[in-house]
Amino acid sequence: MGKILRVNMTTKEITCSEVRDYDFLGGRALSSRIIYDEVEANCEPLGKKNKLVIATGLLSGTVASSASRVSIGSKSPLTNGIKEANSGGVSGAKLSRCGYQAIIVEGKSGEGSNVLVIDKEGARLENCPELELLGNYDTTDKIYSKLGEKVGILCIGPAGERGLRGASIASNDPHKELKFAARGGLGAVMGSKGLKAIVIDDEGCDMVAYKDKDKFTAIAKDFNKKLAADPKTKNIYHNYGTAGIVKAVNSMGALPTNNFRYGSFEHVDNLSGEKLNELIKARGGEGKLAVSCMDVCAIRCSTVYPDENGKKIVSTLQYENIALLGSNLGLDNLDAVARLNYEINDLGLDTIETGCALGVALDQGYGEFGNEKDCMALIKEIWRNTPLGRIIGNGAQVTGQILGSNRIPAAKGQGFAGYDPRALKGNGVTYSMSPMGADHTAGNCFGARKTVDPLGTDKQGELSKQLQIQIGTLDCIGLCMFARGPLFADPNILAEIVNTKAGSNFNKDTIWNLAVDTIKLERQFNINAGLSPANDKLPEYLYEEELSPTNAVFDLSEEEMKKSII
Amino acid sequence: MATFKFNLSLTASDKKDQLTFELYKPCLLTEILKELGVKKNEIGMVIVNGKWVPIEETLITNSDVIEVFPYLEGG
Repeated sequence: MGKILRVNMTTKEITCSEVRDYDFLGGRALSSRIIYDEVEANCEPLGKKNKLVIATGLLSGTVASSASRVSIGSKSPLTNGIKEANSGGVSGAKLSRCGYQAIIVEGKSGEGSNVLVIDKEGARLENCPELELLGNYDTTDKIYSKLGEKVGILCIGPAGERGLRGASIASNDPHKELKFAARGGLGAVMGSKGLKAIVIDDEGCDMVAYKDKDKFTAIAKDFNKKLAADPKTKNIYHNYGTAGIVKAVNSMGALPTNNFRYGSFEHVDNLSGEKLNELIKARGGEGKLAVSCMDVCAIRCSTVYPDENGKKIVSTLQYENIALLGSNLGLDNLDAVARLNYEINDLGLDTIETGCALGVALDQGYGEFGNEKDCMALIKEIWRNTPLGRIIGNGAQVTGQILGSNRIPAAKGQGFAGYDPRALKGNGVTYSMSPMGADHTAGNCFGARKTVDPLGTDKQGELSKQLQIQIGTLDCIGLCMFARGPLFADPNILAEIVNTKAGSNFNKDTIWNLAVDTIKLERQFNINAGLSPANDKLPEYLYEEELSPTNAVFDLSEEEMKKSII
Repeated sequence: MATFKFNLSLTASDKKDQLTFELYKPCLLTEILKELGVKKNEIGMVIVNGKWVPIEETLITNSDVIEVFPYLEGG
């Protein structure tokens, strides 16, 4: 197994140790285990006792498709519980090639703008005041100029440096675009440590170890072929990215619209995957479909969205951003969504959290739904670090509490993802019951709509539980959730690919224990942190306010919800 | 008139993404889709008049609006 790099930001001491106690743990399993073992559960999330863990997956740096996501864990300043957010990009693979299984960042620096540089010689901290309060795009440009364009970068924008609880951590991809470990405010934790960026230069490093490389490579190639041939890959992701689901969610009545007041949007055609495809093709220039976010990825669900002149506005324009920054703000065109998306990326905020917060602010009269200028003005408040900007940058819960809203779309302090839980009730279970709070990636029930009525009141708890385990297992391996098609169809592939790489002994039944054990640990951490079962709930307005067009309310019994507990 | 709307990669066998026709009696959704040349294993979700329906058991009547989607996953 790899090494753990420990960086003490108080003393600036950096040490390296072999991973011994964490055999066969990667990704979320490793980050959550380290947080559980090393972080006082009742510590302040932005204090010196909290830690930030960057963990690689079990297949990271290999030829397996979509398998090098980087997992970032900490105690969340939004939920006050344990959090893991993972991201595409090149950093995961580069860390693995440098021989590291994880980085633990602890303590707190007296000054900001520190950069951790990792290369074949080891690791060092550099103070870079020239990066202070720069947006993510300028930050990465300056790092490329100084350290070369082939480095992997994990960095924060001014939102993280200023401790805003909606802050994300950016991760550069092979095309120098940014992906994000967005949820849970982990960028604020990184900022609280005084760490602006982690830069990984893997030149001259090839430390990826295999139990049986030949066998692994054969299985990985077979898996890659199956993934490439999956109809979802070819027909959906390559043509529409993740925006392919916009109209489906709208038709179900679950598309957040005007601060989750409605479940469908009259201008949905303008925000759809079909429109995205049409505009990217028609405008040409820098616009692109089917872009990968990792070195090895058959899925290629990213896009580059151009303006009318073919000049890039943002990459990538994906479903969640379209839902939360589009219909949720009443905006009826992708250009406006893309412009807001760019600014939020540059600030280093989570687009989901910020979309929810902006929706709440508009609902409270701080602008009009459907008015891009009003939305952009609120984002400029965040850039200027004004009191209103800080309120919005701290996420939906804080925004609603301070601006006086009793309609805050959040669970466990975290803003809802792009599915209204009244019309997709399984996601209401995941939002409220999962240790991750209102994070769809913890177990998104949208993909199961063929078998379970999204408006039904039974089977939702069991469905959420099953998905939390399945998706959690991918998180623990470092796999993208969009790779699940062939893996869930034949879990033997999942077990074998891990076994031949890591030397483990999983089978199609035991591989899921990676997530089961991890989620149990996470739930215990949250209990230790003071999150009682009373926190496992959705806002009360969802139980009373009917959501058009289905007129659904959230009406699952407590008994049904508890079926999701792992 | 019953209206079928096919989304994304799905179309009827004649490549049309929207079809409207008279239904003289209620018919099983699966039978109509088969008749239209839509492969059952390519269908991920069907919404009838704004509500999710189980594909196997649903009867379609003349005034229904049916939206058919391929398999999709949420991120």
